[in-house]
Amino acid sequence: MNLVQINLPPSVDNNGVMTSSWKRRGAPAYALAVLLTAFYVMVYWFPEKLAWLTIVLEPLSQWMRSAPADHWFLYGTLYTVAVLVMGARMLYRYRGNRYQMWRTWSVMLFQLIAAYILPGVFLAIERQEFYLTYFWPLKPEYLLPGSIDVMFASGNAMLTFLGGWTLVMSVVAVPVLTYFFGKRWYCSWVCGCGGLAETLGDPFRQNGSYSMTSWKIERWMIHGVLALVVVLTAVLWWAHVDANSAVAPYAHAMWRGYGFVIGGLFSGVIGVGFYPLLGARVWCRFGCPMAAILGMLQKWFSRFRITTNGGQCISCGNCSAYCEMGIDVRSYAQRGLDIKRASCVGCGVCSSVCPRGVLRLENR
Amino acid sequence: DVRCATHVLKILADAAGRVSHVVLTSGETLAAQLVVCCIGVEPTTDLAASAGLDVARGIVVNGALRTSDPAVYAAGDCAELPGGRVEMTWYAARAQGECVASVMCGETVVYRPPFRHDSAKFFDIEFQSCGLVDTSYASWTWAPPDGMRFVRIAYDERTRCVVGAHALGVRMRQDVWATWINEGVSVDVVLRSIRKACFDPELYLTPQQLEAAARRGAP
Repeated sequence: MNLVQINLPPSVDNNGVMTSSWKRRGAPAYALAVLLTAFYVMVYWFPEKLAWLTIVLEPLSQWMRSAPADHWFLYGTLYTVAVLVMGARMLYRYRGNRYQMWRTWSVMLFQLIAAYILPGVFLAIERQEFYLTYFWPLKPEYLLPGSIDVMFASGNAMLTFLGGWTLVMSVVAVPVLTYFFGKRWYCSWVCGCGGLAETLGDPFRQNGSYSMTSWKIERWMIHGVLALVVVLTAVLWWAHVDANSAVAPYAHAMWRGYGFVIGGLFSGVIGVGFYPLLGARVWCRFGCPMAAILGMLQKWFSRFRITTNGGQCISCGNCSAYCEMGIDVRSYAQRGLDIKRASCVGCGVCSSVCPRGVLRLENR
Repeated sequence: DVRCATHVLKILADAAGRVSHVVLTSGETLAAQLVVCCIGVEPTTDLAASAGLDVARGIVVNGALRTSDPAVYAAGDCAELPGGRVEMTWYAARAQGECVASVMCGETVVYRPPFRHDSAKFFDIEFQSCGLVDTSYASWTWAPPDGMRFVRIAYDERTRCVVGAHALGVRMRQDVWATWINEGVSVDVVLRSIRKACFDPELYLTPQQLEAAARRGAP
């Protein structure tokens, strides 16, 4: 005789997260951070040390891209594997939540197709790698004289299309999509950096600081990097148009410097290497110039916001604890306020972990 | 099946250590696979009593939540309001806290109970309840076959005004229901615009499923 049948809906289980040495900066977390950092240092500055691994991928690279495997192909392969494997974990973990399921499938497929397979195909066909999902200013070179020349002056239909694509995406699609959906359409549904943070970085999302001081540092840094990219772009174009201009001798060194400090050290070594210590969105939160632009659009010209359901917040603080961008969500929810913050990437985890269903992401 | 005027004497386990029977003081034995205990709320008043404050069921307060010592206030589920009422929900405690803060800041405020609303999570199923939901009211219910979700809307049979609602595994907007119930909106209007009250996350199918059921099965 069966008197009671209880079907439990699968819900997000955060038991033990805050006491785990892996997830809360214990010794294993430090060891993993050292390992990840060492890998990034080798990829960026000592690729010859990875030759033994790169050679393993030679057949795949030849088959996929008709080109020899190099350390960047190794990096891209490991990156994609990390997104897919940890994405599968994410799909299981949030299996009761349709928003998280759709979003995780989205970042996994964008990484696999648009940031791994297609760049290889473009390389095979046009001898030119191209990422459909990265735009200026996250990938500044796409609007810099070098690549614009290659794209438009080539007379090649596909390269011209790709040049037009990146231009239209940067100038038209970014503001329009952000107006309708907030920055999440990019940061937590499409972007590869966001994709890695949302999958490989998910176990560490509770390690971001949500103090007021961090927020202040964040605003100075992220807008500082954006200013840097704007100046850099202007200088490179100026030097390109007028080779005798005052900036021309420094343009190349500035570009190299930006690539080393921001592209390598910040977005790679600190951005991913420090996942287990600082949380997964360090780069997105403190450095990404694309996030800075999307954030300003989101704050002032977007329909996106997180709404709170009346006075139902019980102040448990799960939302703030699991916000990877260090937003103190609870301080808004307690007062029944809408949350409209430039840094919010719309991952929806605050809403997923809320025990009272108080938070809802909305486009209106 | 409600048994009155009897208590639980003991709960028996089977060989595997799982609950099998409940024995009542009336001598009756009931087969059981799950026991849910509801013991209510009993305010802790020892401290207040030893401090010389008036104590009955809870700490006795006036309409401004002042205890018998005007320098001391009580708020939340320890406070017994005029009329002997003890409010046991988080939402009431929060509203009482706001009221006490206003009084302490020198405002002349009388505590008014907030809109009757409560939410909780049992066995990972979210639960919301608002307004009056006594079984004496007529009701419209939705129970899709997945067994995970349930909605009951209670209304007055004669006037057709909605008086309350329950939702299990479905998220509802508190402010929308507060408006509907306070204004005594007709159940027909509520069912036509039920989607306005849905608070489920984006991409969830519940809002359109509930709306379709509400349009199909208006009472």
